[in-house]
Amino acid sequence: MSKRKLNSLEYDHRQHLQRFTQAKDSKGEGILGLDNRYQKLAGRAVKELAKGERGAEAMAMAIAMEMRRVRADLLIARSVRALLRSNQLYHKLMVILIQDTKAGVDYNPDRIGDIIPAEFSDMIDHSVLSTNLTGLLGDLRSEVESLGDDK
Amino acid sequence: MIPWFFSQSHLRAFPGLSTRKQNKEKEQIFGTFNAQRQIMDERISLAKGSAKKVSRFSKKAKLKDKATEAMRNFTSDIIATQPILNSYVKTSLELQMLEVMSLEGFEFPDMLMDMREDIDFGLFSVNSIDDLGGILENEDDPFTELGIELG
Repeated sequence: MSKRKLNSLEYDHRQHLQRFTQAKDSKGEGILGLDNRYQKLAGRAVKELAKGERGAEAMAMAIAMEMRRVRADLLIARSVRALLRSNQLYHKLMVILIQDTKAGVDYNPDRIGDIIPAEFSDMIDHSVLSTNLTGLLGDLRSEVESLGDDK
Repeated sequence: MIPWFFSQSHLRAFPGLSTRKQNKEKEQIFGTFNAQRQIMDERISLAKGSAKKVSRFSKKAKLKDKATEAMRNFTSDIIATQPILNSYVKTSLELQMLEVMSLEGFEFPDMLMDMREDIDFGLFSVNSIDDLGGILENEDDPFTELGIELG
């Protein structure tokens, strides 16, 4: 491929990289909002349960129902972010490969996976569905119970 | 192996459609998404109303039977909400995937999955709708974490 064609291809992949980086960042902000919403609902549910009344338990159940939906929205958002990141990674790899081709670097096609940049290593090491909310409710319950003990 | 979600033929065909056809398909799915979201919101709102009813009945000894009945109805309403939540998740995933696929430069992650089999795509990694339901009902479920049994 001519250098001119490689330059044009690199330009296109850079544009796509920027587009997917912005979309991924925007999704990240949405995830933060959902995280906060879930934590607020969790706090309310635990406080209702701590009242120890039947009506309050029912309210905690209604809140847990909303938490289920927020948690589903959170899992969806994390999965969509993974898809956006895979596109970001793809275009970044293409930019690297084009630059290296222009510089005369030879790659073994079977080992291209090994050049995945470090910033994307968590796509492999971490589970997309593991949120930082696991155990949150247990912690909140202990907190509320200890407040009750202090009274 | 390409997960079931990414291999659905209508999703595979989507990037090749004209903008007009893409928008038409997105509008259709958006309509379903809105309807499901509305049902979810209504049920959460109804559950909160029912919880207040349980609370009111529970406070008067002579209304104890009414409180028990209200609680029973309330619990069955919550259980009945899970199928619509599962459908809502599938529709929302599909809608958001169409949005991502509409971005210029979108690539299915086939090449990345060929390079690395261990990239995690969260809910997109499921191999059937049943898998999706299973993930949503796993041990991180708010009801389980709050110690609430739905019976």
